[in-house]
Amino acid sequence: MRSVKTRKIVFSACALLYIFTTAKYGNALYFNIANLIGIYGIASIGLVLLTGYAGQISLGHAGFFGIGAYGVAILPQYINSSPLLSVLLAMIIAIILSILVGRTILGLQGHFLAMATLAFGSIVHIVFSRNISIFGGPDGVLVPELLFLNFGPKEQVHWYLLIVLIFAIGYWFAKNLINSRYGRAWLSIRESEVTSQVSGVNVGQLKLLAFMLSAVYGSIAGSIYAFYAGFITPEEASLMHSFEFLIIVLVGGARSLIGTVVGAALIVVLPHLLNEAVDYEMLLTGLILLFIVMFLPRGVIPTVRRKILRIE
Amino acid sequence: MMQLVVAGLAVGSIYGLIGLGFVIIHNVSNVVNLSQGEFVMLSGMMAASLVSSGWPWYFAILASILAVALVGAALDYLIIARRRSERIIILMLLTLAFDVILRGAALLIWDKEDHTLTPITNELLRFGEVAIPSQYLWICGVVLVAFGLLTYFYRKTRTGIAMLAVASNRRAALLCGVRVKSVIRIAFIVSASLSALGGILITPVTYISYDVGIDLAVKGFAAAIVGGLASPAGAVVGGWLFGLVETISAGYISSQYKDGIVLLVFLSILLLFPRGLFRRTWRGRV
Repeated sequence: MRSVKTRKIVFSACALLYIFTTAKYGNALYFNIANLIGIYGIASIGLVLLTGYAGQISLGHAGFFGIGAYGVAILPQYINSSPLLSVLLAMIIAIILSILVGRTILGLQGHFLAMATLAFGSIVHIVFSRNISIFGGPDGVLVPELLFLNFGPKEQVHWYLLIVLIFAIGYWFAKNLINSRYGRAWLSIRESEVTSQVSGVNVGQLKLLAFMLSAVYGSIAGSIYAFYAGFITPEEASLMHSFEFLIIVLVGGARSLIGTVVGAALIVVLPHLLNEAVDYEMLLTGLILLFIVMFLPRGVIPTVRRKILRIE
Repeated sequence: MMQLVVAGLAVGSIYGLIGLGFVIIHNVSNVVNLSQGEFVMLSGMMAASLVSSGWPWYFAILASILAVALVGAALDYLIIARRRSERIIILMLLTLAFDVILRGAALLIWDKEDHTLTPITNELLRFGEVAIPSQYLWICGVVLVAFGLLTYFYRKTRTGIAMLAVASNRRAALLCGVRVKSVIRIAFIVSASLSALGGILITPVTYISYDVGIDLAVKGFAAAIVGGLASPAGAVVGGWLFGLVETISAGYISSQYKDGIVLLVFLSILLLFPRGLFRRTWRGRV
């Protein structure tokens, strides 16, 4: 490729072409898979910012996903909010929680932080699964339709375009953050907190910012999922779900935004590939995680980039 | 109330065993083994299914503990030993992967149902108004004996002293001729065995199923934290603490959310004793 700019234009053109072609000719199975990939991708972008850039490991990301999902399912019942308002409110709740939780646990290092985020995710899961009166317990709840002024996505194609759009916006926003002083500050925090602090980076604030952003992306993705699926269970906030997000980020490349699509594709397609052998899913997921961390610690996209760049 | 206390101590002893497992491994290798809880699950499931398919009780529990000890050794041999130089986060992710693999395997080998085991003795002891299943006393007793044996192991046997040496200063131990790799392998085996023992003890009391592992691991980790992730005695005390928190909050506050309350207490303790507070100065690479 001649230059970065050319590469970007070609890439965007290809992406647009792909989107429109598949939108016109895609079948139900394709949309089903693609929409889920998009949703998981949106959630994972937040985790990329938190883990890949700011270097803070989170084993509780699904907690925010669950908050977004349950928010749009439950809030309309209690305060009669419109679907879009519910999305916003759920996001605000997620942000507030992320600030409260973040301020307390982001000071922890390494595995202590990991366990703390695990505990956070578990608490959210417990609240959703043990409470039957408000959250419907382990059997889950129905989600109202997504409508705005009586318009809403009805066909799979509508969802497809909506999800692609939101993913693109999220991607664009994250990419800009990464290339800004925030992204650079995060990277320095990832390398060495003490050095960053000494160099004038407000480590606490920036870590909190990353955590908040992960909550935003997670919550929005959860809300979209809730509307799309029409029915949610506490498993949206389960530990296994958090692990899946982490796997998505690790598979794709911790610092790669495109990698979220790759990782999400793996996670979403896997159960479909297994068909009747669905019991093998957990085992395979673990093996994949093991394989990635052992042999491809950088993830797929960075490894591919190296090979391609080297050939050129 | 007395009932809750005894139950709490019993459950807490199990958490203490798991916490011991965390501490033993972490002391010699800086690894936080997230699959510690699965060791409990595996031994419980295995013993339960062996017994129900006709094995004599003694053989079943012995076989289960041995099998899980082997699994622990496998974790070190296959995974940890090959990546010892990586950052601790990577090692932790590797143990996480191992945890998911173990859980997935358990799901395939067994099923999603709850399983149970017959207790060692099935009496209901009565002290005044309080009725205590005798298994609780067995649990506490066995754990205390195990802890005593562990202390003896550490203080009087060569291997135990070698482990203390590696925990204290790995390089110096190497220079003194200690086989660090073997010591670490033994640490994994001992940790796994302790957790396996916990599995055998707890299964008669609370049912066991394929997905109890992570919950146990978090509580065991919480117990280990009380000892600063370094003190075995601290882990046992921490286990009792969290066991008591769990049963008392189940009895007096809410049995639905008891696990949530335990987690909240865990988070609070994590914050009150962050890593930096245990050492007088913070040592690390910048």
